[in-house]
Amino acid sequence: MLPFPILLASAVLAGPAQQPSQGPPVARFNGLVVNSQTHQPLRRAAIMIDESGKQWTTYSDRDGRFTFLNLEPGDGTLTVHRDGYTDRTYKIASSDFNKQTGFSAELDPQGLITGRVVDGTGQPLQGTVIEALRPSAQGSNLEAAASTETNDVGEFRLASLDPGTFRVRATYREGRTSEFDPTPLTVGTAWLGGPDTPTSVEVKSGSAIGEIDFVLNPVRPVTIRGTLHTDRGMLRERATLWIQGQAGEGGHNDSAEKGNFEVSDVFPGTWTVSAQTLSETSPLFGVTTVSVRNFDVDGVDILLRPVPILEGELAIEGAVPAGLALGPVYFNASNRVNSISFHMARPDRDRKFSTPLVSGEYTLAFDASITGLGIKEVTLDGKPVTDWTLRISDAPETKKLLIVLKGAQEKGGQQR
Amino acid sequence: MRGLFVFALLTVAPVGAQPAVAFKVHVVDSLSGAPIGGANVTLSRDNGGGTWGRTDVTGVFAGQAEPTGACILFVARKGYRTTGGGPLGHAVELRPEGQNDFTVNMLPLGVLTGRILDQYGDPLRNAIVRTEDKLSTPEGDAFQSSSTAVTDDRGEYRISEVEPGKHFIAVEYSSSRTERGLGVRQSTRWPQTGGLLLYPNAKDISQAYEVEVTAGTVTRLRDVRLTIGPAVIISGHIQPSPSEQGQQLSLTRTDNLALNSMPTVQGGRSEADGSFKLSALPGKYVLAASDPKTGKTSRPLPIELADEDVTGLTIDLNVEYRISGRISLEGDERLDFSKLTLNFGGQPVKLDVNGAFQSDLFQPKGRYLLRELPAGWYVKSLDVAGKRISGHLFLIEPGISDVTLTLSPQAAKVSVLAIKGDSGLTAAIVLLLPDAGADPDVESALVAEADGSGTFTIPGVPPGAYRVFALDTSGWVFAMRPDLLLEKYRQDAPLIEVKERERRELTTRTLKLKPE
Repeated sequence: MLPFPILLASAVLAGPAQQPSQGPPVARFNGLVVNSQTHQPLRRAAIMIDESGKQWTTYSDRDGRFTFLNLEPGDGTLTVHRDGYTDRTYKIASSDFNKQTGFSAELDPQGLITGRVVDGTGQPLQGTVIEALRPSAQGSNLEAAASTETNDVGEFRLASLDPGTFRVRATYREGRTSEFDPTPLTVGTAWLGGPDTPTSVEVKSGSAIGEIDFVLNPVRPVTIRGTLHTDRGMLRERATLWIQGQAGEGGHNDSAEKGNFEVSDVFPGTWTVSAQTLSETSPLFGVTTVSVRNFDVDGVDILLRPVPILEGELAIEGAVPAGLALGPVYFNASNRVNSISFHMARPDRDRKFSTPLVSGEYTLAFDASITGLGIKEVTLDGKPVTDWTLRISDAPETKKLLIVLKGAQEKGGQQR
Repeated sequence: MRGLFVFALLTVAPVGAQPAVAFKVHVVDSLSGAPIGGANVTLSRDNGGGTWGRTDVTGVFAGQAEPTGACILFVARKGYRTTGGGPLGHAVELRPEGQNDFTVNMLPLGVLTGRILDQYGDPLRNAIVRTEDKLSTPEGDAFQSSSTAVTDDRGEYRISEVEPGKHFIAVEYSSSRTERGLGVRQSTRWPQTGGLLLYPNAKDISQAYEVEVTAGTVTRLRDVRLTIGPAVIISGHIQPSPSEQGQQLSLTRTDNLALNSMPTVQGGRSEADGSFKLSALPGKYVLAASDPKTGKTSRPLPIELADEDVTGLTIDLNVEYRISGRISLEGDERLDFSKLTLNFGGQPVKLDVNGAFQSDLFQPKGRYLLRELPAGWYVKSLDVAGKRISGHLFLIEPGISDVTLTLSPQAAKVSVLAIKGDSGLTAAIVLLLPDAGADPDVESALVAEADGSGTFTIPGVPPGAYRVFALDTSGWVFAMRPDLLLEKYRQDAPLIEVKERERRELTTRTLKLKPE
């Protein structure tokens, strides 16, 4: 059967919300949704009241007004959603119900970026993908907040942007539209401001930024070829390759046999290419940066070195609960440099573990069996780890991670 | 064969050791005569490899290639389609001496623009606007869409590359599709809202207008108001309660539109007590239920969803469309039935040692597919409830229907030597299409792929009349549209009549494609 976690409102948009299936119908809640800048009413906005997981939904009418009937008054949240506006959540209390004066919800209009994309001869490039990117929640990799495509006259309107600072990228692909299309693939891609001095666009609520124009000259993708070495010479083992661009784009796997690799369909830009051997306990890893223009790149050599080992221990200060079995510790790479961005280390009976970790920044997370005991402190090589962020240097020495738990007597430590 | 062929076309190699000759391709707007810059030009040799480039602002691409004679010239430019030549390009001959100037005409396609508003007159963003073109299939009318656009923040759309002619226009919006399409990760899960109409304001295709699109022009349509409403609930009870296996409910849109954001069919399962609940956007649907275990199904229930939930439905599983069949062999020769694969649109049926089988269709329409038939055998006849059926598609009445497939080891064998035609290209594929008067059975097309010797052999040919088509790489995709081949080229293909056990050999030229 289909899941129905949400109790649907009446089937008429802007009609009063129906009562939930349980509980005595005793209260009403009405209000108005407006644009925060113009104070004009917002029609067809969705409004949801959530009281500890019990939800009611309705929609604003042609005057921007909404009414919930037959609710159970209580503390909760009211969230408003409308295309073209930033979602907003308000805390509500029992006292907000059954009021003569309606609740007023104000939504901030989102921003807009517009522009045009042409080729070197000035002809519009239809179907160019325009992305607004910003740093991801973790790490400095960029992620697309919104994207759109240019129309037949090369114009785009990138809407639905919440306020923030964005980098803008245009990517045009042509050829290989189907298995019958003999036209070879060509790609043109550019960052606003160019590759050397990329510029950011600051989008404010309700702002419209125009003339974000691009000139793209699509070219054939190229091939990167190279070799993998260790301090002892050519790598003999199999290795996985990972290639990705500055914004995390194009990340994909490939493999290298007997120390030689070849990655095809690479577009102009700056790429990070990494290689890692397949050993789970003592892999070798190397990384390099390759700048690609319009020609194949040969002779890329990557030196692989042993991945630093992190030895961990979960120490319990208080009493050790009977039958305690601790679950894994998780390491989430902030900046992805290889095909594995998420590592898991499972403690043994002595609550110790060992895992190879490529140098970089990781966010720590723990199984509930660990957080349930309360984490008192975490240290790396004797130095405190703050914000659950672990920085692993590229020094070859083994690192020591100590996680001190409070144990059964002292619950209520840090939660993670 | 197919994979190899495509690989050969895509391998665009640099000019080889032979002395290269120069060629020029002029790409021209077929209406205005103006040059078309930025067009992709690919000159592929018959044996793979080729040269690629783009036309300059004067519409010319000047390249060099080996003088191998026959080549395929493929030109592509957004907003245009080529006129003349085959679906995969123009067959041209590259001469070692003299001028190698080729002109390719391209037809500018149309553009449709307009604005979508919601019920309050506010612009509706992220609505999908698409052309819908009726397509007749053996199983009834369906629609296909070749051009589509999404509205922007002003509710404006531009559908480009619209084929000149008449089109229906569908406008649809689905909030869940929009969230998926934009990659929006919302912490709140909002109920689905949406709407669908056919231009200008029709609920179904019978009330819709077709709009006329002219080559090379931009046509602005009237503003469309699309009422957006929440999905409504369809609930009720199936009796008797279906078993726990498989899908039991299907909700199908009445108009078989080429929508891609709202599924034309929603599936679902009932609870153990037979109760069910589905959610769907307003529109016209057909609801049906079935029980895979008992083979029982319901009569299709038409439902029109507006703005009210539809509750308290009772769906009776009181119909069955069951086949009790067997495979009958003509003559004394035996077959190992376990090596045959027979299905009626679902899983293969189980054939016992005598060739008997049972199958539940769950609907009146059936279509058989028999594979792994040994060389020399063919399906001589199909009898359904005592009636002889032509083709693969049949209808049955509720209840149990007898189906007999009669196989014969007396198939004919046809060998076709395909010689180069005017294009200079060798054949890539040979098709035998049954030529049975005004209503040919294109589903029974027989295909042979190149074996390298130039001869194409088809061993299991049922007796009858056939048109023989030898297609080179520029017309190869016609193999997937035998109906079009027969419509356009019937008179250009030799007609043969073969008898049981006959061994027929013939020579034919590769089909010359006509300009469109």
